[in-house]
Amino acid sequence: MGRTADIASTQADLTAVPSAPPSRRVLALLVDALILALVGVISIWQLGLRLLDDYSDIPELALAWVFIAVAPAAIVIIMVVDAVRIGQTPGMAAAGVRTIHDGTTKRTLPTGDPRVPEPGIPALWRDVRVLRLAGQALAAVVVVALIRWMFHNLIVRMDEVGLPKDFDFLDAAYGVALRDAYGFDVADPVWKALLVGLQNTAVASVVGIFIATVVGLFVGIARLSSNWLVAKGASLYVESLRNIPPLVVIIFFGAALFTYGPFPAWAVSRGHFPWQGRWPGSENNWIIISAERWAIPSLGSNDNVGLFWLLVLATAAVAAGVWVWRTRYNNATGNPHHRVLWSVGVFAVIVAACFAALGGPYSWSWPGVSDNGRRVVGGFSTNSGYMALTLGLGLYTASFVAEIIRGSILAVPKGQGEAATSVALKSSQRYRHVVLPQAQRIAIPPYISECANLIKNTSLGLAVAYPDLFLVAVTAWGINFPAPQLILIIMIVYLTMNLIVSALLNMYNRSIQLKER
Amino acid sequence: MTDTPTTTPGVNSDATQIGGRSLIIEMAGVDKFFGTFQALSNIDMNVGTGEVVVVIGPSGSGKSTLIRCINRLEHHDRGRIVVDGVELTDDVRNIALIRRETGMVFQQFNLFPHLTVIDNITLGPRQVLKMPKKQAEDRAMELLERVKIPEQARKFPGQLSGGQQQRVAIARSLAMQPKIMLFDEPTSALDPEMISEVLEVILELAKTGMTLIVVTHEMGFAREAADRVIFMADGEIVEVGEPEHFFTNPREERTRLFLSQIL
Repeated sequence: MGRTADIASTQADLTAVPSAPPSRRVLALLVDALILALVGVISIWQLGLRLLDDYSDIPELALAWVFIAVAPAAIVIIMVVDAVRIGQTPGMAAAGVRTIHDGTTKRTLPTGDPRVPEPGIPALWRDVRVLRLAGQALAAVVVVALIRWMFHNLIVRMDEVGLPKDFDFLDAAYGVALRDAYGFDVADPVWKALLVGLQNTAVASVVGIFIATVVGLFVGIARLSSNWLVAKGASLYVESLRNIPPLVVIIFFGAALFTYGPFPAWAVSRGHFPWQGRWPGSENNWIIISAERWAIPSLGSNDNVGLFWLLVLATAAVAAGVWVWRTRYNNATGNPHHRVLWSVGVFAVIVAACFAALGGPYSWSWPGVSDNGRRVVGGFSTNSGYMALTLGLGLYTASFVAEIIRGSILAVPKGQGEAATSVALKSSQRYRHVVLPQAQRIAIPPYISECANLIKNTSLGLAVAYPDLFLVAVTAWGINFPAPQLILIIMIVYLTMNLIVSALLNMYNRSIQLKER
Repeated sequence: MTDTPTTTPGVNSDATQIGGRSLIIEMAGVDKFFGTFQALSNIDMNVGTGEVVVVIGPSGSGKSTLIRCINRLEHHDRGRIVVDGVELTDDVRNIALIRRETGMVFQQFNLFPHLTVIDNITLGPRQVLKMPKKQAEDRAMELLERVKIPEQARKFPGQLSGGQQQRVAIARSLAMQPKIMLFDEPTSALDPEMISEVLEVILELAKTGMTLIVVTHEMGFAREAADRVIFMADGEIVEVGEPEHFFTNPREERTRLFLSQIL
């Protein structure tokens, strides 16, 4: 009660407040100057000179920086902030001068004046602002010192072993043959080998993600089925693949497909000829399986391929037109549009007609076996490593994607389904218009993580001799190319790939976000 | 059914009419169990066309279960439910027919958050009634005007207030042109200022002669709009009556106890 009266009387006659005597102000200025000079000398001496030192002083200096570099910086910052904001400095506090700041003007008072309101300036070592700044500066110093120490160790070690510290090795000849790398020669430079590795990683990632998504969607929804057998089968799939390390899954598929299992090891080295699948009475192989590679027929292009693809493009435009037409039809009459069926059907029919009319712009290239079974020629062949990696990794990641999808469908609030039922929507309509759109919004962030995981897991191709980026780099490492630079390159490449995928999917995610106030 | 003794005061299960109206809902001997817990026991209730029935009772009394059994959001274990002459059995065709005749408004609104208000309202008519887009949207705008929020048509439910959302939910149910509207505590999730705007809409519906079954705690609304008030407790119908008699002079002790606590 009395205090408010005091404050009221204080504010009432601010105009009549006297200032601090000049002697005190001069004393305050001297003290401030002394503090700043001290801070300046220490800072310039320690920070300026020592930062330019070589690395050998770093471990000892880390602690020294705490006491000599951090505190002065914090002190200077606090002094400046206080001087600007409330017109008070440590010198003034030491000289016994106080400031009233009523929001528009500052007036200084000598000590002892009963109208002085709080706050004063606390001692520097108790000032929470100083402590906060000091803490952050300390953390920064420790981190920098640690990094510089580790880097220093690396440099010293590299010098001892004789490794170059630059990136010139990228132009040196790689010297090792890469499996299935068409157009790559052992004399080609390292950067080209890494590029081949990157291509292989990208191919395995794309195909793996495709398999994972399609199979995962199917299994995820199957697990929610009311058909007991289907649901239990999907559960079995998910639980078995999810709980085994991905490396084991990949090696299992490699072994099952190419060494043991239902497809015997048709390897010349074991005295077996590659298995050739043929239609009875035909000369052509439609599939060749060996322990090394599989081959299927491929399309070789003839002369009028260019025209064919132009026609395909035109047909795509027609199909888009059909899509729009069916949508308009649905808007106008209310009958179901079936636009996917219509567009795809029209597209397929017209493309088939073009194919026939042009006399087949493509001809089959049949795979064959040569060199007494040692080589597969023609057709489209993939090596066992690729098959094991993409299949194994795709099916492994599919189990996670299935759980994401199942979880996202279950996470849609039950009331949504009830509301859809109460407007008489059928089960399929309910899923399509209400449940799945909301489920997709829930599923996409974890799905992005799974895609990133798959891309990273392609590095396991090492175990099945698939020449992905990691294997190429590790091989280079093994033939004495500098490891730190190689590892840096691989890390940056994987990081970039994942960031690109994540950015694209996040863009999509943002575009479908629910709008709220 | 004609020789089932009726134990619920005020309900005559022999009747084919109630107060001169033909029956649109008949429930006889309905039981519903959740595991071993009996949520509804021996419910006999008949509702006439155009009647406004308000169901009140303490929580856990089975009021929501009762109306959810009518449009098959819950599956009754025993007894018979007939809606507009169609018996509610496991036959999917019957269920679909009944769901088209009934519209439901939920306590939590349950609007589709990924669709605009107008898409929310037109989803049912376009997909189920096969209405062309323009016609469906015109009807939707009419309904939005009826619930007094036509300017919100292109907004998303997340951008509306609670009262507006509930009115959109009412419009969505009305878009299917149902014969019966079921309200499951429509105002319980709203704050007091918005309750009145929603109740106004429901009152207006009642005046147009639509059959309404409203589960609510709003006694003022019950007094004003109801043709009959049903009091439920512990899964049973305890008392039924006209609002004037019901609130001033209830017959059963349990009813008196409940009313004394809330009025």
